[in-house]
Amino acid sequence: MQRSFLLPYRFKPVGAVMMPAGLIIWIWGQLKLSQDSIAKVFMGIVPENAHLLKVTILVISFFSCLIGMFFLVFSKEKEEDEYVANLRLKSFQLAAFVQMTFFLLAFLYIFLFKKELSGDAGLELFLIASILLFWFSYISCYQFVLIKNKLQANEE
Amino acid sequence: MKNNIREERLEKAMTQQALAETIGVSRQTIFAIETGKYIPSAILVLKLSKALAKPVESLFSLEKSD
Repeated sequence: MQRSFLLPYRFKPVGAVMMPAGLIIWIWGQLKLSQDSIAKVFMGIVPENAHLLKVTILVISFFSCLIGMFFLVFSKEKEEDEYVANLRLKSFQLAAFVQMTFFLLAFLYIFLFKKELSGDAGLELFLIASILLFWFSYISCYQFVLIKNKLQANEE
Repeated sequence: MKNNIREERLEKAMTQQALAETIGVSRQTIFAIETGKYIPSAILVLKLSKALAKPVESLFSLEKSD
C-alpha cells in the first residue's frame, strides 16, 4: 500500500522538540520581551536594534513552531501500518469538525453581539487561530489515541 | 464485527509481537484488532487468515448491528 508524502520517522522527535520550544519562546516573547528588557541584557544597544532583535526572536520562534508542527504531523511512525493511516484520517476528520464548529460559533458570536473584528490585524489573528486550532486538534487526537493504545497494549 | 483472533493466536502459542511480525504490522495494531477497536482491511484479514491457518469466516463474524 502506498503511503505518500510522509517524512521519515527521524523528523518526528525533531518536531516534538521544535514545536513546543518555538511556541513557548513565541508566547514569552509576546508577553515578556520588551525593548527595555533587551536593553538590560545588551547594554548600550540602540532602540532600533533592540526592536529588530525582538522581531527576529519572534519570527524565528514562530517559524520553529510551524516547522516543528509540520514535522510532527507529516512524519511516519516507527511502525507505519494501516491502523496508523486510519487513525490519521479519523484525526483529520475530528480536526475539520472542530475547526468548522469554531468558524460557525465565531461568526454567530460576531453576528449576535455585533462584535466586529478590529481591522486587518483582527482578521489575521482570527484566521491564524483557526488554522492553529485545526492542527492542534489533529495532533491532540492522534497522539492521545496512539499513546493510549500503546499503553494498553503494553499493559497486557 | 467480532473476531476471535486472540483465541486462535493463543491456540497457536503465538505472541502478539510474533503475529504482528508475520503479517507486517505493529503489535499495537494486533492489540487494537483483538480488542475490537479497529476493523482491519481485507488485505490484513487475508494475511491474518494465512498466518493463523484458519478460514476468514472462522476468524471474523458479523454482529446484528453490522
